[in-house]
Amino acid sequence: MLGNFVAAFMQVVTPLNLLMVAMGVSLGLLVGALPGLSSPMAIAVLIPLTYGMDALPALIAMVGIYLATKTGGAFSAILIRTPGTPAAACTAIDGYPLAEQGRGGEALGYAIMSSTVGGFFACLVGMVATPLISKIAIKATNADIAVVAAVGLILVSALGSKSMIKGLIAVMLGLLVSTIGMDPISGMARLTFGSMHLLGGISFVPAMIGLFAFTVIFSDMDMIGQKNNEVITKVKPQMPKVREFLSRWRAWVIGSLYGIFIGTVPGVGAESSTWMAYSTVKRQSKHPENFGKGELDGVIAPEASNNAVTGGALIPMLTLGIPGDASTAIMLGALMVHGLRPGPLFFKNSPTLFYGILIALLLANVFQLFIALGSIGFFVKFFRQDRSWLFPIIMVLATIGAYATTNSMFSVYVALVFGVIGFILERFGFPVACIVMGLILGPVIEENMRLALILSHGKWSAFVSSWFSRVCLLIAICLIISEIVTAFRPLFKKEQPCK
Amino acid sequence: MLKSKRVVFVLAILLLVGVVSMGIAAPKYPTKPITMIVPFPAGGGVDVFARLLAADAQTYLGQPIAVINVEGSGGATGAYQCVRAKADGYTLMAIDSSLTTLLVFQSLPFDYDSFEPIGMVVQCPTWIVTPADRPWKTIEELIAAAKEQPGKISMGVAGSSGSQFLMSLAFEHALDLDFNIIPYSGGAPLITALVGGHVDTGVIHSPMCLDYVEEGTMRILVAGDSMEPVMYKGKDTVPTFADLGIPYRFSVYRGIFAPKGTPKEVVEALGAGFEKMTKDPKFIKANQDTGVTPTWVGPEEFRKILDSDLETYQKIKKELVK
Repeated sequence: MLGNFVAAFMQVVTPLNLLMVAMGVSLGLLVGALPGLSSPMAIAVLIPLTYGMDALPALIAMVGIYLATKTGGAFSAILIRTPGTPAAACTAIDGYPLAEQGRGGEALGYAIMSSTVGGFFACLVGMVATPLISKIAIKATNADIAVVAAVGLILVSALGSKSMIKGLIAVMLGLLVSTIGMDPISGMARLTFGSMHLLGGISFVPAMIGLFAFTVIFSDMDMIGQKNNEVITKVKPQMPKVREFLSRWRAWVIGSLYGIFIGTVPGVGAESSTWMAYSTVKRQSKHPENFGKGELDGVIAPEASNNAVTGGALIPMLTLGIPGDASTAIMLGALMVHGLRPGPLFFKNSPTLFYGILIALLLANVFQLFIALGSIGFFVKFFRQDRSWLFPIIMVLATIGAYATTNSMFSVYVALVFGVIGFILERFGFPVACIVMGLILGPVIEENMRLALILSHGKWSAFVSSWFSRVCLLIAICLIISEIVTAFRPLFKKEQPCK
Repeated sequence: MLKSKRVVFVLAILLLVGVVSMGIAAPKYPTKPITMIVPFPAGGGVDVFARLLAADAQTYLGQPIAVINVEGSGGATGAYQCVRAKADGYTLMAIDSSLTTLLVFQSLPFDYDSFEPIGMVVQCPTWIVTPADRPWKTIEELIAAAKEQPGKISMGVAGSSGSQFLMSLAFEHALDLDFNIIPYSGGAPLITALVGGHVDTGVIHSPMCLDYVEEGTMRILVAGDSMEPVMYKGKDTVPTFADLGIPYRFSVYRGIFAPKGTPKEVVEALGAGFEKMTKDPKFIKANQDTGVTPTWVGPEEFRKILDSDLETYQKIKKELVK
C-alpha cells in the first residue's frame, strides 16, 4: 500500500498536474462564487477539453473544481446574501449578518479556513479508512437514506428562518414542485398538464438559479443606486488567528464529521449535512441565541461540512462506482471515457490512480487555502461594484447557467418564474432556501421511502430498523425539542414574576 | 444592337460558369462540426457512448462532433429536439433503446418514424443477477425457490416503465412465477441495492455488474439475449432466455439517429464513416473497456430491430401490465 501511495504522490507532484490543481481550484472558486454557474456544469464543459490528456491530470482538474465550488459559494453567500451553490445556503444565515455588521472579512477568513480543514479531514479519513467506509456506506438501506434526507429537511425548516411554520410551508412547496413530472416508481405523469417539458419535472438547477439569484436581484433592486456598499467596503481580508480558530474546534470537527459520513451516503450530500451540522453546533453552543444574527460558529460548521462532503462522496464513487451527487456522476463518466472503470476492481486495477485522486484532493485543499485568501480582494472588489453593474452581470450569468443545464429555453423560463415566486414569497417572510431544499431532497425522500416500503412489504418499521436511522431520528428529535424549548423559554420566564 | 447582344452573351456565360462552378466547388458534407444530442445527463452510459464516438469523429467523419446533453423526461426532451432539428446532417442524436419503452408507456409527439436511423454501434443483453450471499446459484435454483415462496423474493428493476420491468414481467409470465418487483429509478440505485444485499435479484444491463461478478460479490444467472458482445470471461456459461424457452429477447441497443428528411447522401456518408470507426482498434478497445465489443448494424436492419421491439413491448404491456 505504501509503495502505491508514494508512487501516486510522485505522479501528482509534477508541474503539469500541479498546474491542473491550481487551475481547477481557481475555476472552482469562480464558479462557486457566481450564482448561476454550478460545479456539474463546469466539469461537464471540461470533459472534451481533456480528451488529449491522460486520465490523472483531467481528474485532478475536475476534483479541484468540485472542491473549490463549495468554498466559492461562501463568498457570495456572505457578501451578497446569495449562495453561489446550494451547499452554501446555510452559510448565508450567519454569514450575511456578519457582513452587515462589518465583519465580512472575518467571516470569509473563517469560511475559508473551515472549508480547508473540512476538506483535509475528509481526505485523510478517505485515505485511511476507505474500505471500511465503503462497506458501511453500502449497508445504508433505502429506508436509511430516506430518513437522513427527511431529517435534513426538517432541520432546514426549523432553522432556515425565524418562523418554523413558514419554513415548513416553504419546504412543503418545494416538495410539491418536486412531484411534477414522472412518478419515480410507476412512471405515471404527475401535474404535467400534458406538457412534454414538464414531463421531466422541474429541474432543480434552474429553479435554484431562479430562487437564489433572480429572487435576490428582484428583492434587492431597490438597493441599486444607493451607495449601500457599507457591507462590502468594510470587508478586509482577515485570516483568523490560529488560537481563536482552534478554540472553536467543536464547530469544525462536528461539521467535518457530518460532511464525511453523509457524503458517503449515495444521493444525499451537502444539502443535508450542512444543516445537520449547523443545528448540532447550535445545540451544543454556549450562545445558541446568537445563531442567525452573526455567529461565527454558524459559518464554520456548514463550511467545514460542505467541503468534507467532497472527500466523502469520492469514496463511493471510486470504490463502488456509485456517484454521490451530480458532480461525481460526471466525473464517473469522465473516468469511463478515459477507459477506466470505477467500481470494486478499481482499487485493485489502478491503485496509484486511486491514491492519486485523493492526494490531488489533499493538494487542492492546500491550494484552495492560499488562492482563496489571495482572491478575497478580487471578489470583494467584484461584489463591491454598484449593484447596477453587478446585477445585470449576474442576471446574464444566471440565464446562461439556466440554459446550459438542458440546452433549452424552458429552463430559462423556469428560472424566471421561480425568481418571481421567490420574490413574492420572501416579501411575506417565507425562506427561499427551504423551497430549494424541498425541491432537492423531495425526490430523494420519495423514491427511497417508497422503495423501502415495497421492500418491507408495507411495514413502516423499516424506518427504525437500523441503528443508522435510529440515530438520525434521535438526533432530529433532540434538536427539534431543543429548538422548541428555546423558543418557548422567554414565555416561561415572563410568567415567573406573576407568581 | 451588337452591343446588347454581346452583353447578353457575356451574362449568359457568366451565369453558366457560376452554375457549373457551384456544382464543382460544392463542398462535400460535412463542412462544419456536427452536434450530437445526448438525451441523458452527462456521465451516464449513453453520454459515455456518445463521447467515445466523438473522440474519433475528426478522423472518420472529417469534422469534430460536439456532444450536448439535453436531458429530461426520460430522454424524450432530447429526442424531440432532434426531431425538430434541421435535417441537414449537422444535428444527430445518440439513441438508447430505452426510447422504445418510453414510446410504449408515454404519449409523445413523435415516434420512430420521425427519425432517420444512421446505424447501431453497440448491443448488450439485459441479465438477471443476484448478490452472492443468496442461496440460489443457478437460474434453475432461483426458479425453484420462487415457486416455493411466491411473492416473497424481491426482484429489482432499473426503471418502473422500462425494458427491464417488461423483462421481469415476461420472465414471471413465461415460467409462471411471482416476484416482489421493486422499481428503482435507474441502474445506479439498483447496483447499490444489489451490492448492499438489500434486494434478492436484479434485472440490469450495466456492464459494471460484471466487475462485481468477477470479484465475487454478485452472480449472473441468465441473460435476455446472446452474450456474444459482452466482455465477460464466463459468458459462455450463462444461459439465455432462449435456453429457458422464453420467446422474448431483451437487449439494449445504442446507435445514432438523424432527423427524418436528412438527405440520403448524408446518411450514407455518416454510415460509412461510423462503420469504419467501429473497425478502428482504438475505438474497439475503448468500448471494450466499458464492457461491450462494438458491432456495426446498418440503418435498415436497425430500424427493423427497433420496430420489432416496439411491437413486442406493446404486446407485453397490453397483456401483462396491470
